[in-house]
Amino acid sequence: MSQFEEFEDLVNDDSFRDWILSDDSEHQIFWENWVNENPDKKIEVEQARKIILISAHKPQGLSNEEINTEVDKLFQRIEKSRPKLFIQRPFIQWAAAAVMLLGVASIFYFLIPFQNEPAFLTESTQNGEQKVITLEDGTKVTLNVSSQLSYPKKFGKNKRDVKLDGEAFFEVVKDEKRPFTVNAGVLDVQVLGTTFNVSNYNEDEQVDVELLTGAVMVKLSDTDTNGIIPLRIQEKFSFQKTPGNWSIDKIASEKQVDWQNGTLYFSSTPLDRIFREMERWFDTEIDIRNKTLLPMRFTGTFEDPTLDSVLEGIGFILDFNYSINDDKVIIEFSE
Amino acid sequence: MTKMQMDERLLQYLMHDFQKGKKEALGEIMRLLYNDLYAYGLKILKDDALTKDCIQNLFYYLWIKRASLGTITKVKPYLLIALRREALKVKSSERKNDQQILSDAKLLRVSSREKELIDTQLSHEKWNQLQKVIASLSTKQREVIHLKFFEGMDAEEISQIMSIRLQSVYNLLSEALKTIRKHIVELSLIDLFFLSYLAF
Repeated sequence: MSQFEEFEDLVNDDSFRDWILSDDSEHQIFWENWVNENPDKKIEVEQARKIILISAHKPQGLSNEEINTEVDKLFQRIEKSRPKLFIQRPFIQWAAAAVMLLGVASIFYFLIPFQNEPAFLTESTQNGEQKVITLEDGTKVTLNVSSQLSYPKKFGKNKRDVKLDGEAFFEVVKDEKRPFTVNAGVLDVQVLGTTFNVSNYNEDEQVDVELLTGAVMVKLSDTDTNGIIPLRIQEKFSFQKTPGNWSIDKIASEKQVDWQNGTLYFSSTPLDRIFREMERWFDTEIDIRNKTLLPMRFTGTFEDPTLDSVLEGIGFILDFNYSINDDKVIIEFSE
Repeated sequence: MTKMQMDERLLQYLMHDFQKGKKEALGEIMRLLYNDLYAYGLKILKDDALTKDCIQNLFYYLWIKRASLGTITKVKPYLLIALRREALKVKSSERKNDQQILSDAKLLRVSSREKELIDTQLSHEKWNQLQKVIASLSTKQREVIHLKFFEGMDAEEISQIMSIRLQSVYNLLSEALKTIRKHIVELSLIDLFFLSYLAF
């Protein structure tokens, strides 16, 4: 057995530190015995205990909010240093914009009255399926997995309204006389001519609107709010269905809306939302054995992902094992 | 896998992503390590605003130089070293500009947050007592204590970060502990917490 003659030996001993700092140390019995057998070392032990306790006490740092401010500051500086990538070409009929809405409610009826009661068409996709639709005015809509778009066969004289459940990427033909509106449950997204992405899944709690280029306006359908929020380039609008708060942040990456080209993007995304998105994307069911770890977040990009590659990537970082049986994935976090 | 190893693995993954040009990954690294870097920077610079500036500069340079960084095997120690270099640069240029302010008064400059806490809870007498303890420790001794106890680093890692010999780490640590020990008897645990705010 080693001798602990000096106070310093105690302070530097890992098992002693562990005993002082944790409630159920494996070294507890050893050190309790040692203290009893060495009453002459009482003062040394007390001094060492004090120094370990104070030095393990971390000074108060910045709050999460303050840290986020620092991160935003960094991003602004990075953006300033970066040459602008897009060039304005006014003769082009397409204003480029991309908007993404995640998780909105109600599929049952149109909130917006259409002129002349035009005839409606509906297109939908299953899990794992994508589809391209061209509307009467030339607007191109790419439907993502498990989504549904309702639109009139012919648009009215002064507006173009469609309704979306799920997610879609829109390339809207410019027509200043007829604004184009996507109804996505609690939100309307209005544009003149632009390129944007809307995702509106029932099961998601949060609505995100992400604008890459161009301009759109987000209108809350709730009549009490009566708010029209203009979005600027590279901005992300987030709406929490309950309690109905919204906020605007800077957009992280254009990859975020690049699902048509097979990119799966997560930016500090909560794990439960990632699993839901994977269920839709890969047409599978994900079963989590120990759910206590679900509040974890993950950041990463998967290009041309497979179910295996995504699970392996996230599992490696967040330390879980998985198995795939038939159409079902079982996830088990390491304890 | 320990929490520390898991954190380091996550950091390495984020580092890889960031070096491929993903700004958000760098932001995530900043979020994860901010308070550790802040605590360390504050010990060297003794100034809240300067420390924040230093961290900003550090991450901005990382972004600019991301292509030439190579593979970084230990992310946290690497960033602590880089911050230390950055902070010492700032400190030496400040010293040239303002020799006087940087004498003893500077040693005890604390962030407003900590000052507030100290003002409300520490008597004038205790405050003077703590100042005596701190004054008897060298900057390097305080730095060693911080890395050893707050960051939980071993002597070898400390010698790399501070670029001093291993034996110097042991010596500094032993001297610092001896000095603190003398005062430990007179001070209560609560007072000692303030000492940790101020000195390490």
